[in-house]
Amino acid sequence: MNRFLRTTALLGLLALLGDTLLAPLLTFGHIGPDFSLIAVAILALAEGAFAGTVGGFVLGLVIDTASPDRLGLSSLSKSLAGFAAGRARARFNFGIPAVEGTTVAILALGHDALHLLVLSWTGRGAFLEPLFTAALPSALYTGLVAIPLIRAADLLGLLNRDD
Amino acid sequence: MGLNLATHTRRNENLAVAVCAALSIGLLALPSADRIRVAGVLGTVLTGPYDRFAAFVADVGRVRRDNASLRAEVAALNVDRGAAERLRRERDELRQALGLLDAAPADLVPCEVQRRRVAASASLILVRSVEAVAWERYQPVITVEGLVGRVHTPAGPSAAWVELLNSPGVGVSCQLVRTGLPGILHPREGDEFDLALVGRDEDVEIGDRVVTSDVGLLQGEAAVPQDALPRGLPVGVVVAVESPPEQLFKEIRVKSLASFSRLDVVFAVVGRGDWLTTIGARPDSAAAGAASPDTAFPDTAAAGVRP
Repeated sequence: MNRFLRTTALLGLLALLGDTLLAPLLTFGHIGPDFSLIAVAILALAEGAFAGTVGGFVLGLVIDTASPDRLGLSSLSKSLAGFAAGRARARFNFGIPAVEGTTVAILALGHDALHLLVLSWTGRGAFLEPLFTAALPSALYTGLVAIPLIRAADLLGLLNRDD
Repeated sequence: MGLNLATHTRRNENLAVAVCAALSIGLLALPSADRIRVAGVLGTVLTGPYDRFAAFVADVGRVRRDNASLRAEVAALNVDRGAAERLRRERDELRQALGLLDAAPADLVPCEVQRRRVAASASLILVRSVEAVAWERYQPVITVEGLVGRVHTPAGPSAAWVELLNSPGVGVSCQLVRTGLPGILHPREGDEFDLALVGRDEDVEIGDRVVTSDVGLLQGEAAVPQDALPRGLPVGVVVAVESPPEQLFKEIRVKSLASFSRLDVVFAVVGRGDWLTTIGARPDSAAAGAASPDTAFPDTAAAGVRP
C-alpha cells in the first residue's frame, strides 16, 4: 500500500476517533484538544505542505458538515494550518518534544484565532475575550496532547522522510 | 508508481492553498439556505459511511446486550417451566387417581390464515398448518386469546376451512367459570355474543369468564353440535346481564377474548387435551378409594359431566 495513502488513512482515523471518542473525555468546559488539527499537523510534517493543505481542507469539510452555518470555516483554517505546518517542516527539528508541542500549539492558536476572527467579523461572536479564555488554553492543551502522538508517529516511521 | 503528494513544488503548494482557501471562502459566502443544502450533500458523501459504520457498531453492542438479557430471561423461564412441568405431572397423577384425566394430551398446531370467506350463511377462514393434521369436524381452533372457531371442512392434509364463532347460526355449548352454569353461545354482532338458556334467577355477574363446555344441551328439537369441543377453552367475558321480567332466561352479552378482525395465526387443537375434560376411565373402586368421583365432585356430577 502506498505510504502516503497509509499515512493519510491512519491520520484520518486519528482525527475521527480522537474528535468523536477521546475529545469529549478530555474536554473541560470549552477547553479541549483538537485532534483533527493534530492529525493535519502530523500529515503536513510527514508528507509536506501540499498534502497538509489538501488533507486539512478535506478534514475541515468533514467537520464543517456538522455545523452547516459555518460551512467553509474549518476547511479554510485547517488547510492554512496544514500549509503552514508543511512549510515549517524544512526547519523542523524532529525528536525534541518541546519544539513539536510548541509548533502544534502555535498552529492551534492561529487556527482558533482565524475562527474567532471570521466569527466576530460576521457578527457571530467576540474575538479578544474567547481568544484568551478559550483559544489560548485550548492551543496549549492541544500542543501538550500532540507531543505523544507526534512521538508515536515518529516511532511508526511516518516522519522519517528522506526528501 | 504511486500517489505521492510530498514531491510537489512550492508553486503547486501555493496553488493548492490558494484553491483550498478560495473554495472555503466561497462556501462561507454562500447564502444560509444553500450552505445547509451543500453541507447536507457533503455530509452524505464524506461522513455517511462513517456514520453508518458507527450506527452499525452501536447496533451490534445493543444486540449483544439484548441477547444477554434474553438469555437470562430464557434461563429463568426454563426454571419456571421445569417447576410448572412438575406441578402439572403431580396434578395429572392426582386427576388420574380420581379418574378425571384425559389420557391423550392435546397438541396445538400453528396454522396460518390464508383466506377469508364471509357470506350470509357462514364466516369461514382457510387455515394452512405447517404439518399434516388429522382434521376432524368441529375440531376447535383457538388463538392465544381464546376460541375463534371450529373446523368445518378439511381441505387437504394441511389445510382446512374453519367456521368462525361469529358465523350466523353457530351455537357453542359454554359455561361460566365462577358458577359452572351452562349456556349456549350465539353470535350477536362483531366480537359480541349472547349466552342463552341461563335461567333468569341464576347468579351471573359482569366480568364472569366464559369457557367451552362439553355438557350436552338441547335447544329445541336438535342437540347442539358440540361434541368435539373440550371443556375449559377460554371464550369470552360477560359484559352485560339483564333479567327481563317477561322472560324465563337472562339476556347475557359476552365479549369474546379473541378478535375476529385480526386473525393471522391460529392453533388447531389436536386431541382432547386436559382443559378440564373428563373422558378418562373411571378408576377401580379399590384404586379410587372409598369416595367415587361423583361424590368427590358433586358440582361436576350434577352438571352432567361424563366421568
